[in-house]
Amino acid sequence: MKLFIDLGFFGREGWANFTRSRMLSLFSILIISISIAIITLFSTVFFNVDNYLKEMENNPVYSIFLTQDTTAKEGRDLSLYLETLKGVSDVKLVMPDEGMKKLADRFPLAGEIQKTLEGNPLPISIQLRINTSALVAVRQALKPYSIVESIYSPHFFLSQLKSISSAVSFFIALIAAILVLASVFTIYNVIRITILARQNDIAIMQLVGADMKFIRAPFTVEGTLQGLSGGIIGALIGSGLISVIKAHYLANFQYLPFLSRITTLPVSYFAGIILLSIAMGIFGSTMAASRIDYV
Amino acid sequence: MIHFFHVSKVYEKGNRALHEVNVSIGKGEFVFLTGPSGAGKTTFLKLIFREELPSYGRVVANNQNTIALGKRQIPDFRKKIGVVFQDFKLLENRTVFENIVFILNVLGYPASFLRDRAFYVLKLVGLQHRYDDYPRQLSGGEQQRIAIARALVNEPLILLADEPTGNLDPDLSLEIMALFEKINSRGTTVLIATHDRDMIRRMRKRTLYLDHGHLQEHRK
Ligand SMILES: Nc1ncnc2c1ncn2[C@@H]1O[C@H](COP(=O)(O)OP(=O)(O)O)[C@@H](O)[C@H]1O
Ligand SMILES: [Mg+2]
Repeated sequence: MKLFIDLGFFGREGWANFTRSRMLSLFSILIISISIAIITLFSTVFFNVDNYLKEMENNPVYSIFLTQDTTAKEGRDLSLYLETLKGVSDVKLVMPDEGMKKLADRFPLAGEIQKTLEGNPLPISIQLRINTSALVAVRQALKPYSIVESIYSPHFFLSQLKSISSAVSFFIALIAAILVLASVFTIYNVIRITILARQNDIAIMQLVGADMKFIRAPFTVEGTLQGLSGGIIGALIGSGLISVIKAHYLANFQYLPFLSRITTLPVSYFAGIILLSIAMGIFGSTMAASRIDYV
Repeated sequence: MIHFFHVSKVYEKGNRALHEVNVSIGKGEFVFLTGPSGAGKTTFLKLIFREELPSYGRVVANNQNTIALGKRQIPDFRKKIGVVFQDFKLLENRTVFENIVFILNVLGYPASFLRDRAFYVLKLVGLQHRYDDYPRQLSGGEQQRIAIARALVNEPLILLADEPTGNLDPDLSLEIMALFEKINSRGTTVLIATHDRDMIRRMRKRTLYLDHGHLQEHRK
């Protein structure tokens, strides 16, 4: 019962402080929302790249390129043979014209170049999914076929992408950590300033017998409110920016196809980001409030 | 209730405010503390509710030695002492009502009780109609009465008042003194610092006289 009365008091006092020191609160909220907006942007990119990599990893698609002089029949025979092998699925014969069309879709420049060339330089190819465990056996089975020019595996590409992605996520985590520190530091200092501005009141409250928690807790509430509002505003700005960038710049971006399919963060991520900003508010303000001295 | 044992107070710059003070004030007493300005009256009161610590000797109030109090014990110690400050010390950005309710909040009184209790003490000092005003909208005398109401609100064991009638006209001063007597009759120990000699003569109470930090007893 006493606890609820106290909590009500802390809340009311904290809210009053929050609205009273308007400029300082706004400054704090501004810094937090900028940080959170950037963190939201980065998390969105990270989330999408991660999803793309997982998709690639779970469904690796191989391409078998055949020699230039391979006939359509030879190609068809080979793909029929491949379908009988264990661990192989989704076998698809890709004729040169179709291959060129796909290439041109993905890389518009390739289409332009092709127009200036006479004929189609692409060979017949076969696309298929190979279970990782069956890969060695499939390679063995293809050995005797002289029409097989090369087998293109996504692994090299994937592992390269992964190492780039982990380097990028380390960088993102570093920047996020700096932004979090900067926000906590801002809240800490803003609360310090409001404490200084209310030193007189704090002394009076202590002289009439107020417990430290009654003096400190409202500042923590104030910092939490700053964190919460900064977090909500920042998350909204961040996801708004993603939508704008997606609509204006990424919609026709063909080079990295997943970028045009970029999605905003799921609710759980937003919840995490808001919790993070509340935690920043609590931490920064509690640190500042704990430095209030006894009179 | 209040004991000073060989108490001296020397402020930082070597200002000696109290010198070898020995005195006891019993539970339920009504005592005046008087003397010219600069004699050490305010310092005497500050030592009791531990706004200041003695430089030498010790002060015991409510059976607690103020030097031995840990920081965390100070709030509970002060809750039992009501203080009317010479400069009032009202919270500037809170209304009269909020200034008084604040104390009750801090003491954890239930919400239903706050309003009634706050208006009760405001009525005692005759300012219930100003409950929604801010301190700066009140005259010095009115602020003083609010400070008195605040000191009374939680029925403290000890009431300390520093020049509580300094800003009041004679009639009002008498009313406030009558109020202090009423509080005193309910068992609260009352100590009033004042240089109002008429008042002291009229009230016929135990009086402590301070001069340049030296304390003497005068009984009438
Ligand atoms: N905080 C302080 N620092 C230094 N000197 C002080 C302080 N407070 C009071 N004094 C000095 O102590 C003496 C007693 O002051 P005070 O207790 O306020 O007297 P009174 O209340 O009787 O006017 C004065 O000489 C005053 O200048
Ligand atoms: Mg004085």
